[in-house]
Amino acid sequence: MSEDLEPLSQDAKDLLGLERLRDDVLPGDQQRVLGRLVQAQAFGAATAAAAAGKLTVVKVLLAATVGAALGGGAVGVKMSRELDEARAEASAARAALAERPPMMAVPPPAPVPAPPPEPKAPPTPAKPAPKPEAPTPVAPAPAPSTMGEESALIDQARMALLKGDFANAEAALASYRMRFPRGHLVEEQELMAIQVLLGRHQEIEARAAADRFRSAHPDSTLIRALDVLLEGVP
Amino acid sequence: MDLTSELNALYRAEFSYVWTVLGRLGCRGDDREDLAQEVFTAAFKQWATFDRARAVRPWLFGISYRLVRDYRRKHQNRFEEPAAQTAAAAAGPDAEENVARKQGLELARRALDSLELERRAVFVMHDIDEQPMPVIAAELEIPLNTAYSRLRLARRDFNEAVARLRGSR
Repeated sequence: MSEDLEPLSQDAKDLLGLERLRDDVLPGDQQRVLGRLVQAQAFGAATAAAAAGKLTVVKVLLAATVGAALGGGAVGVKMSRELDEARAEASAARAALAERPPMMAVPPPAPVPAPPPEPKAPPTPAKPAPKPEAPTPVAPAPAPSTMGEESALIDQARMALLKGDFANAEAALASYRMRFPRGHLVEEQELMAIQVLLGRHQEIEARAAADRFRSAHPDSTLIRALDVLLEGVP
Repeated sequence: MDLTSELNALYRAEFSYVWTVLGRLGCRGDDREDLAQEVFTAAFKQWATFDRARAVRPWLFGISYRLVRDYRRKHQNRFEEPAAQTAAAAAGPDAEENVARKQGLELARRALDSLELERRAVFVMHDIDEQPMPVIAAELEIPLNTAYSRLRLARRDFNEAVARLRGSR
């Protein structure tokens, strides 16, 4: 069948030889798309698919990378149900780790189905009836939360990063640092600041910031996401 | 190696290939970046079930081709911008040689851009990536005869485009 193929002219062959050697990846292309994949939880989605719904460490970590930014109803990003679940689980895991209030709004738990009725047991000798349970004490009203404002700024930075608009991303992150120096999303803010540095090819500064992040948050669930971002960075 | 490390390694190893393939399939600017993200998102999702006996690049090409095809159907008249500047064109000691090389790359890209997408995909896989036709047919999910037919037409179109573009210079 190949003998019927139209031969290429010598000129065309030469051009294809050049095209074969083409390298048109510009500085920053690879890192920018990687940042988008991390933010879009592509690594987490793959893990979720592989684990068939089982929560894995990676999924928690990468869901947490952007989960907090998405919490509080900031910008809507199409997410699969699995990832929504991962986000909620990530939130719960992070809240459990931290000695501070939960870092993001956790969706209300699904109603627990009523247990099936127990089979009727034969009448037993008289037993004192169980005491009615004491009424559950009402939880005190939560303190006013800054979560919405924090999420909005983080989300603003995230959207700017997705567009490669590092100036606006940095502006949103700087605003966050000024307004919420001890905010709930400090780790997310720091991670994004590292992404901005990488996007600007400030690899040395990015590595230094990453070291500071690891020292300041040794138990952070975002360290794995940080490793992914920095892998291969000179 | 855990799954995340594998995906990371896949990304590092093949980003350049996918990026270049998307350019060869006519993607430019933001479209190219969007599609690169989509290609790797799709590849990551399929990676756990990917048959490791298969070659990775034809598989990534197949994913890229389908995404580009669908994207073009959704966004008519996209990817019509002129060929982007190339990073490689500026490299090398000889400036004159560089200019010729840059012009050659631009001409090659313009000639490629003149091909219909379906033909272009077979042509790129065969005449640039040097993949065997059965692999091409399998990855593009087309009959082998169709693949040969597209390659024949693509070569004719490419020869004509190169001659035309040379003549118009």
